Amino acid sequence: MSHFDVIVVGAGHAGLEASLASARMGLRVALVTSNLSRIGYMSCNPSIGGLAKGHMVREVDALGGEMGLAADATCIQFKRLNSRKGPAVRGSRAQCDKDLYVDYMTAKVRTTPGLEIVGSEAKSLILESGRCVGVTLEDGSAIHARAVVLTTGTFMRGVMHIGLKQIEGGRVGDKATVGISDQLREHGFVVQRLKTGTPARLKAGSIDFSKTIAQPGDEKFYPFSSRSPEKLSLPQVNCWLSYTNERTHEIIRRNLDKSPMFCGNIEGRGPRYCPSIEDKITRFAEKISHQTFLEPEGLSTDWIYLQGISTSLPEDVQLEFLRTIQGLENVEVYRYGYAVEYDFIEPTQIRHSLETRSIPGLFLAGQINGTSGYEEAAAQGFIAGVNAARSVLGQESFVLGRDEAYIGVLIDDLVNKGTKEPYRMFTSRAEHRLVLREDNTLERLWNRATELGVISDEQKFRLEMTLTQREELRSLLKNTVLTPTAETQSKLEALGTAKLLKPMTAEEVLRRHEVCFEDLAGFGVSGDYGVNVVEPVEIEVKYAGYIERENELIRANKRFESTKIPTEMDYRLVKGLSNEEQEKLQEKRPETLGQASRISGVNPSAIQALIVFLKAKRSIVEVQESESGRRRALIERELAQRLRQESQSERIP
Amino acid sequence: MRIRPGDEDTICALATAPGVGAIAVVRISGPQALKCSRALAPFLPERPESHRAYFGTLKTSADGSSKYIDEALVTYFAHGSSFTGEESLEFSVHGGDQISGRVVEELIRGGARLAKPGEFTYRAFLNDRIDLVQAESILSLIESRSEMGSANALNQLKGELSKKFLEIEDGLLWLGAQLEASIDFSSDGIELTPSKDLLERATKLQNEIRALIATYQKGRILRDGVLVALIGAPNAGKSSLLNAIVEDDRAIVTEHAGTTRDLIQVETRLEGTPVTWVDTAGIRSSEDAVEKIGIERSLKMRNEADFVVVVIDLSDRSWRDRLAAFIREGRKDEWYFFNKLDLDRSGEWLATAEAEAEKYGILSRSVFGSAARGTGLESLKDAVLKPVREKLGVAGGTVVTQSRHFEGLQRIDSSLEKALKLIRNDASPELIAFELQEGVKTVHELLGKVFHEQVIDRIFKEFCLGK
Repeated sequence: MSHFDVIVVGAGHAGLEASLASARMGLRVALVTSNLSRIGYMSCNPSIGGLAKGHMVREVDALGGEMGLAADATCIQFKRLNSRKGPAVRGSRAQCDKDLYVDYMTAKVRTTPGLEIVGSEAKSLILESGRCVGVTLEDGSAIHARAVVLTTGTFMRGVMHIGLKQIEGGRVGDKATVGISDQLREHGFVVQRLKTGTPARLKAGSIDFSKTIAQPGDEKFYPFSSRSPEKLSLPQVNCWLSYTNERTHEIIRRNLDKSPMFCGNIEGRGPRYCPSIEDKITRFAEKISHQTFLEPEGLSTDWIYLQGISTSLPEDVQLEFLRTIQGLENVEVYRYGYAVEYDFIEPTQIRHSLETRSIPGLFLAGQINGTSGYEEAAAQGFIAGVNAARSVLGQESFVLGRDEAYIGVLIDDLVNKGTKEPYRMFTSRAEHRLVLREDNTLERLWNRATELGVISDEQKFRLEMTLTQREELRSLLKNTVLTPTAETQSKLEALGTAKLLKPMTAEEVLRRHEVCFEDLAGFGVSGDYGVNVVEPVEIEVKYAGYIERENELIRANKRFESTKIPTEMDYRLVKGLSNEEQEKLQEKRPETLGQASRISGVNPSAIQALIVFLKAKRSIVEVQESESGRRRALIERELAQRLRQESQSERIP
Repeated sequence: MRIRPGDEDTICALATAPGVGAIAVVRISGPQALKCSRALAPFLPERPESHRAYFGTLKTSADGSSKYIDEALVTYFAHGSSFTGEESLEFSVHGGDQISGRVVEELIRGGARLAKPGEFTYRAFLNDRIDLVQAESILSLIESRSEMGSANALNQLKGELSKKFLEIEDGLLWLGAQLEASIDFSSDGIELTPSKDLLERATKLQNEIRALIATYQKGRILRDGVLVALIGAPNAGKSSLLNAIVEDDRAIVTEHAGTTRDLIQVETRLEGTPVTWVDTAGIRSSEDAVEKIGIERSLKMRNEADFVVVVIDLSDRSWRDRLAAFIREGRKDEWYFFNKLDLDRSGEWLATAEAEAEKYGILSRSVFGSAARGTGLESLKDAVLKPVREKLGVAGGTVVTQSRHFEGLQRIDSSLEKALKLIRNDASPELIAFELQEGVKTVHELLGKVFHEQVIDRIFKEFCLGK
């Protein structure tokens, strides 16, 4: 069997979503991976979600992706980050059992109809008349398809660094992929290097946890997926907090010359938001201590992940400084930290569909596009899988807007701005974050999800139930009117909120700062509503003012955002642009002014030039008319002057 | 840089005010500026030096002949180092419309076209030589009617106001960064800025913004001068007073009708500051529809003017009642001109009027005199100038003169006010950030960093009004 509709290369978080989405859309899909035991493997930290990332997990889930379900099913500690801040910036994070996560995903791809796993390394792309139509495998055989999704993670020309030692490979235990990035480079792609790092994994039995601070998870669990059970299925574990100290820093400082980052062995740029410990102590020399979380990697393993201390110092130095950390005095190390350098494709070379501009049929997703993080990868994987399928089916590509989803922000940023460091999502990247919340993900994306058809009808039915219940609750709040009777007033007083001056709806009362949904039970607002129904509705009511303002901004933005630039636009005519801007616009061909304004290197003055140009084009006749009017006026003035001159000269003699 | 059709042309125009003057300057700018000038100024070297003036004789090539036009000083500016950013030349010729007109004519013959109003500035803006605020300052400079006004516009042109706006942006961004860090890196163990510090910085920033806003009053005087409304009952002598003042100054700059014929405005210049006197329709209760409209306008002017003078006719038997009514209904800063002392035969009017003013506590805002005789005028002018002197006396520095900037600053102030309130209430950082973002957006609008089509449209509409 060597003919498929879609081939997905790589079975990481991007590849999984891509292959599952395509298969669920009814296509025949090959998932090519060189390591069958690491399907959906968490190469770095053992958790899914986090700030802004939790948003994306929910979005992928609402569209029919798998990551949220897998994280819910294998969660061993749940936390809602920023829980005391506003609803828009809360982020769910599930620490997961790494092995169970792999088991879950492996079972999922094995049982999804239409999806076939091919255990081999993809060596090169097969290009036919400019299109990508398949890949060749390790044994020289070829498989063909109408679209190929590349999700090679850190494997393309991956090099691991520990101290001054360099090992080829994208991850410990896996070899690097060599041919494909060279092939892409030869085809004219800009291929660059990035760097990332991972900390040491420790042996739990060698750690004195009594010297650290226990970090339990939250009491309350909010599953990522509306399709998951509301209760956790696995026992929950603690994480532990400890700190580095001046001794730790001293050892690191003394050995900086053995760090590949500092002696110039690494050319790729690393993430500023996730610096190695070497970086931290050099850049913030005045800080005498850095926190680190000890995170269990699973229920049936004694591996501990040391969050916050990624390093690429030599093994002996790592051991020496680790043992200065409280609780780690006798620590034994299962695997030392290392840095990994890899090729990525400058993502401005792809479209919003994640298809490359220069090779139709070739889609890219995940770290190959310069991102970091499982969630960023999954989000792109899903979109690439969907669009690969849609291209095979002859449908228009599926693109989410920046005001619809973090996924939209992510892809728009990559495509228009590119990236110079591993790109991670932040809530501050979303200009309309007050409406892009975790709680309203279903509402935001329901219409888009049904248009896609990745979610099964059975699951759709469940989601529809949730949405209907929320709608019911909304109208219950609107239609329940509290009248200022003595009974009502005393109940309100008991809640510590102001009495009524006139009848008020339950919705209006709920808008009060000090009133929460549970308080309304005494006024007839009750029903068997789960937290996934109550919470979103309550947030909507409480933040209605801000949400409305944000929506207004979105509407105002839309006009500018959606001002179309003609497809045949010749930017060379708009000479107000710098050469660089001209080139970028000519190359990217943004469809709207909004897109143009987000292309990096295209300055506001260029957008101004475009606006004026587009306007002028529209009113060119008007301009010409007024122009001729001016000329007429000039001629008349000149005529008048001449006449005057003549009459003067007549008089003089 | 060319954007609109016609932007690739080389343009020329008279750069100094039309009319009689010692010299007149004609400017030409564009890729062909030198080429278009060749025939006119054959004495220019093959490759003139930038910023150097050449002296020679300008000649016309009309009718194939080569006639003498004038002796002139021609300054050459190379591409990239002129006001517009394009190759430019300036022709300094003898004043008067004749010579400069012929120079323009010759340049047009040489291939240039007549510049549209404001087009030189427009090109400077598009070529990134100046930002939006600076472009506006040029408008101001051209329009400015007082000496200090021009000085201020020059200051703005140098980028002083833009710098202020950038400082505000920087302050807002600093606050924003603290908040964003507290959101996106809350679990990274970073040290967060305490809200006390945020509050302090935000308050400081707000004070700076408010100080800038406060300069607008002064700025408006620099730009527009002072508006003085003369109000009173019919026949109180408002028009005579106006005439007396104008006669006295012998400096009628303009005389033009207001929005309707019932408001006569006359501009004079007092100590370098333009002062516009408005003669209003007499105020009385009337059933006549047209007169009623006139009276409404008078009342509106009474509210809007910088300075109000109520004219009281002492020869009117019921002047006391009228005075009482004006005081009752008027602003608390109005001045009173007790008129027609020249008609006093008893010699008691002055004392009575003073006593009456004393009674209402308006003596310090009262002037006694006669429009017909021209007495009391100096005291009145002094009164008008006093607040101006005070306002202009405020130490120099950057001044806001344009309503667009004033409105923008007010919007930033209100965003910041909302943010401050949220910080005090310990609100969630993303809500505070939301308000600050609005502020940043407004700064960008002010500087022309984002486009608001309407803003750009408005500005260029203003340019086209005629400079």
